[in-house]
Amino acid sequence: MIGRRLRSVIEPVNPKLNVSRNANLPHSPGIRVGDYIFLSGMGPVDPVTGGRNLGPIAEQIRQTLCNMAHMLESAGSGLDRIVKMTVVLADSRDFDEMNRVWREFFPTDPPARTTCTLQLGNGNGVEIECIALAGESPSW
Amino acid sequence: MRDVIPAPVTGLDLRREYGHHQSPAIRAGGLIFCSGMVAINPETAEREHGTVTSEARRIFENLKLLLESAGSSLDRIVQVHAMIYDRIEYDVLNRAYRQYVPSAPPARTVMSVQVEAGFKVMLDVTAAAEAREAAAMTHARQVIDRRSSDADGSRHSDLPLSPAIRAGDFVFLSGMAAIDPATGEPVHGTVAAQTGQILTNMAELLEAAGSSLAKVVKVGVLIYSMLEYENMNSVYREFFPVDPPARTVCGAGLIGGHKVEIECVALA
Repeated sequence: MIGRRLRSVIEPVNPKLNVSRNANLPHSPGIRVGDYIFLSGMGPVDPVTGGRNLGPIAEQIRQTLCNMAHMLESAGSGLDRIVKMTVVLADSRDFDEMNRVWREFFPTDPPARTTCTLQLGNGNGVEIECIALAGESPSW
Repeated sequence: MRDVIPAPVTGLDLRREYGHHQSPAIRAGGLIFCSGMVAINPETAEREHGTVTSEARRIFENLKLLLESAGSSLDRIVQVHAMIYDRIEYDVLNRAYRQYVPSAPPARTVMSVQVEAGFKVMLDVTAAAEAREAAAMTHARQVIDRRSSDADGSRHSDLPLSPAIRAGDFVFLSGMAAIDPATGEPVHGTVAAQTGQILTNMAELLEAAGSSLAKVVKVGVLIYSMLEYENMNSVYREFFPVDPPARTVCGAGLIGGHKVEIECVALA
């Protein structure tokens, strides 16, 4: 496979979702390498304003997963190619709500997943990271 | 290719039993990514809340079933995120843990978090896939232990972890705290100072593994308080001036009174 050993930065098409650039943080939105894409932890960022969407937890989770889909699609992958997700909740009572939203987004063969409750930044109720398979034929 | 690894026994199907919308494990690109595992009875699917020891044992027995059903095994685990409900039980976890990975243990990061459903332990595991994929993988699983110093402190502490494990194209590093490489003793200082010490040590360990900071793909940062986020960032950015790795930062209870702990996955 050509470029297998390459490490390239991936970025969202929508610049409002490029949180690390907009907030000048020292991480990339995602890194593609070999067969995989590794995404940074993502929160509920509004794709129109670039601000935080700190609504009800289900809405925050939906927003985060929509942004994750956008990020993966920007790199020729997609939600259906996610291998492993790590979900961090600010409140463990949101666990069932999280599963409910998960069923909407991953109707069949959901990814492997680990969930725990930790202290999050920016008042986020949820933060999600993932490892996905890269697309079959990358555009670069 | 992305293959779902089904539950090897019905009790381990948490999606069916508890509505946890996740697959037990996914195999892709030479690695197996397991969902976080808690102490579930594999026959009855009942939750077996117990001691850290009994839960850790049950999880490892279940992991053995799951990995072996996918053609892998406990000795092919490359990385573990061990989550415990209270860091005071760290030694208890280690005692049970080392029985299941007696030699060449996986890279590991331990954190004190709130585990789902009131459990005391959860293990999040990545393993090398079965041997038939080994042809495509020049290094199926290899412990990196060539070190010029004790920067990771592991020789000192005799912990059941390897500082770094190479699997295929990747090197998985255990969570690193701020250790003085000359003495192997912890460096107590500000978040900024600890971050700088850790990343200096990480660069050295990666180089021992034939990699480097520039080849890091994904970083996990645990910090004792998210209020110190910018203090960590200010030093962090000096080590990754261009195209920094993907990263997730969380506030968590750290072991041993450290303020920061950092782990990573890098290209070998």
